Amino acid sequence: MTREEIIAKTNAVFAESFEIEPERLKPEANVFLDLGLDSLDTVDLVVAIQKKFGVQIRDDERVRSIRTLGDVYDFIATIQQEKQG
Amino acid sequence: MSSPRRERYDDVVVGAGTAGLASALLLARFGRSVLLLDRAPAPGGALRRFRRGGAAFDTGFHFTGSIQPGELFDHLLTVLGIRSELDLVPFDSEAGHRFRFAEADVEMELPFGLDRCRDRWQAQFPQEREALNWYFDALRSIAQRTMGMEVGRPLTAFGMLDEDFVSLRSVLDARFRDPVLKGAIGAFAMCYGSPPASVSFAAHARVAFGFHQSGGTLAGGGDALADALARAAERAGVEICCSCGLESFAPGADRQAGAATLSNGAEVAFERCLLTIDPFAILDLLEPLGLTPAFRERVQAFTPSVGFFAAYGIVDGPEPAGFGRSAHSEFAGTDFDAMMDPAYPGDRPLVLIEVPGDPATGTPPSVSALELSFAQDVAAWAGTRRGRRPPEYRAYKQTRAAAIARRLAGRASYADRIRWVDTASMLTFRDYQHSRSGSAYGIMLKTGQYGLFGRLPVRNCYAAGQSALLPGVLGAMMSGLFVVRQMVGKEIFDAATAGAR
Ligand SMILES: Cc1cc2nc3c(=O)[nH]c(=O)nc-3n(C[C@H](O)[C@H](O)[C@H](O)COP(=O)(O)OP(=O)(O)OC[C@H]3O[C@@H](n4cnc5c(N)ncnc54)[C@H](O)[C@@H]3O)c2cc1C
Repeated sequence: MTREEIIAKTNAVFAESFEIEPERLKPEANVFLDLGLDSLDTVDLVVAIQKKFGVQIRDDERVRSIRTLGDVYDFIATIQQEKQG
Repeated sequence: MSSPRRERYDDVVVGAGTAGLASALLLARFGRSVLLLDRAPAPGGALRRFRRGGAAFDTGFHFTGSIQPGELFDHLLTVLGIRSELDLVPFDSEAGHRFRFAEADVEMELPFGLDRCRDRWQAQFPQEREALNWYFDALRSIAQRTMGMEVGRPLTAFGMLDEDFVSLRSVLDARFRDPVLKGAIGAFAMCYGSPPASVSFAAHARVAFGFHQSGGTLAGGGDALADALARAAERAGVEICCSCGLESFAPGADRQAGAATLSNGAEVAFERCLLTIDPFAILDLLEPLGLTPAFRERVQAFTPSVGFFAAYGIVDGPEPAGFGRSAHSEFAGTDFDAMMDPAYPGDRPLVLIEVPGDPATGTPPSVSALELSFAQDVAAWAGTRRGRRPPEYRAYKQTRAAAIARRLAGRASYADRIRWVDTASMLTFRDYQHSRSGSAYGIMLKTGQYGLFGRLPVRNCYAAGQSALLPGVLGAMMSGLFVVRQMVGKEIFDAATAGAR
């Protein structure tokens, strides 16, 4: 999956599952401070990403270190690589 | 008991089943003012027994695992402060569970203790020696790494393990060859309600671990536990309000729920509300307050676990020897994914529970026969109400009960002395337990699934119950403890319960 595809699909998760306006979805946007999620939304985010990308994600340290939307893209890229590798 | 005495409580707990009673009691002990609500006329939820022909029958508490001193069930009763009020009745430690695989014509008896069961299976399936060593080590390791399962260990977060992301099916197929042994391992699906292809290996292991340690029940059955919990809750100051359902929440500020409206029209205000009910019912209650599609979709992706069709009977004449010392399970095939498919053409898995009589009270010995069932079985009457169901529904129940009686005829030595007194379909369970589908264990356990536990997106609401962490009475009790830990704070909770650990 290309970087562009990851970005498009991730942004779709935020737009569809958290009803965030697409123009606010910038890589540097802080998921919690700028996009308004809170730590308790993380499980919902994990579940939504699992579904969108057909992967299984543990709510582990890597998820907890996510701050920006760019971090989410990177995280998914890593997961995808692990899945293939 | 029908209307709350006050207008405002610190905590309102909805659902007075195992989870609701346990958590209400603990919250009150931490000094909170607590209102506990249930739609049913008495507290206990699925723990409540019912009486027919002088015998008492259990609804949703026939046996549990981890029942010996120092094991988890015993330990949780101690933490809740009700251990001394209850008599634990272990099964036969040589044969707590008896399985019969009809097509393969294999019978087996499971002893208490992981090592002893491993040894027995290794003797029966010598080619699977290594796989069995691995399997029992894995059960222990998963239990150790699961919060609160290993008695005496400090509690850490109930996180997901790697084993939560692989299915039992994939483990069975990768590690084992003998179909009968795969069947014996898969058979614990009867105690959590999800087939091997769906359930994660970790969820399977958490339940199987307990049943391999030991099995048994309580003197007085589910009523004894419900009564002990309700008495302790009332002593701790919990106000229990029955025949009183939560209908809706007023909107509140800041992702919070406002006052609750009850089925009798009363309104109560609260600081926090704990919901120990069906996740789908939780969704309906919270939906009007504004939820993200992410949360909605997460709950909508849940599916109910399987359920049971039950036939209840009284054993006339003298009590058979060894009666009530084992749970007997009868399986046509060995592949639980096939047998837990509604389209399976053969006989469905059947569990027979024997309850000894009590000469002191003139209670006769009785049996409950639970046969696997699915919502599809009763879908035609799902829209009908209790007491108003058509003759076809009654015919369904009679036919199924007669088939169960026939199955037992060749099996139990006393089968010709059983006088069948009642039946229950999944609709019966649905109606009496005020659940959505009448499923036995809440939602189905799926690989990689995050259940609803703890704080919810409506921030002054919390979830616990059998669908939160682990199914069954033990799982519901654990969820009650852990949600209170989250609500009162880990440090305070751990300090207060340290004595019991
Ligand atoms: C046939 C059958 C056999 C079973 N056998 C066993 C067994 O042998 N061992 C075992 O460990 N487990 C068994 N189980 C499962 C076990 O009964 C449950 O896992 C456990 O009792 C669930 O406890 P709970 O507190 O989560 O829910 P429940 O006991 O279902 O309690 C929920 C309560 O919420 C109430 N409620 C619902 N909506 C509202 C509302 N809006 N307002 C107010 N109240 C509401 C209901 O009336 C109910 O009392 C069995 C289940 C069934 C159906």
